[in-house]
Amino acid sequence: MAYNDFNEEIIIEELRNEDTRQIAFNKVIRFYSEPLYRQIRRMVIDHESTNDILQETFIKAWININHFRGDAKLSTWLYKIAINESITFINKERSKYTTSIDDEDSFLINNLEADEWFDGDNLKIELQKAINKLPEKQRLVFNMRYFDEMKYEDISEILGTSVGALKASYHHAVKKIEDFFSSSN
Amino acid sequence: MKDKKSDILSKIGRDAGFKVPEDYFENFTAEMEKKFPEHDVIPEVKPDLWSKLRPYIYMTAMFAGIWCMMWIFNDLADKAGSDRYNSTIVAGFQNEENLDEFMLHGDISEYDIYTYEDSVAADKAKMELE
Repeated sequence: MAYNDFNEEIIIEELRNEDTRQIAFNKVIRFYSEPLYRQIRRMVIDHESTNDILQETFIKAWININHFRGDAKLSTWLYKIAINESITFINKERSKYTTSIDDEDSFLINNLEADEWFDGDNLKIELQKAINKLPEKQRLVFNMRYFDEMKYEDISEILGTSVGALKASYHHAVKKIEDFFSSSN
Repeated sequence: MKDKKSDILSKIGRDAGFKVPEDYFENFTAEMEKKFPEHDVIPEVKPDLWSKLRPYIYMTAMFAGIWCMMWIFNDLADKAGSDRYNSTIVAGFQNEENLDEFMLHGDISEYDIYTYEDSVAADKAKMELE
């Protein structure tokens, strides 16, 4: 990360003070916009939707900054907002494109194929298709663990699930992705 | 804990193929900085004494209500029991003359009297035991 002058404890103190709040929040945006973008992008796939959700995430965080008590990490709080915003977006899109909640989210893959900011090969598209077939929670766990290499302890704080359950989820997700590739070969 | 390596995932790698426009994050930060003055922060609301005590007061009121209802039902049950065992009626039935008069003019059979006497005796015995 290019921005090295980031101390979470100091930032939280500055966020609590009305005089330093806005400058501190700008630092938060600079520090967290990239990891949050990556997380949202993996969920909603296309760049434009990701950009909208990322903006909405920071606006929500700003409006509710007084509700952040510092019990959890700032990153955990921001990830939670971003994930909730992404899920809300996917549910809205799902209700537009599909008739049943059991239908796979094929609109996400259509968005990927139409997205000018995707330059993956066929194998990467197939991987996204396989991830798309996973249940929502497994999809989240897989994305956080595989692409971001996040610690299970951190994922546990964000998703409110035990480390054991997350490990099981990740294991099932990898197995399903392998099965997807073996059945398509 | 190290996760078990998957051949297919190793082949694909950890780059998902998602790209962003040039200078996207720098521009994004600048755009967001302009947007914040449009959005007011929700002020922190400190809970007052009433909102802190409210759940405890509601719970106390609920238990008091339950206790009152139980007390009323218990009282009603006692009264209903004492109506069945009315000493004036019992004394009246023990007087042979009254009984004959009652059977003669009232719409009551000998069987009704026996069952009433039996039930009164049973209630009395129960009350004495209590």
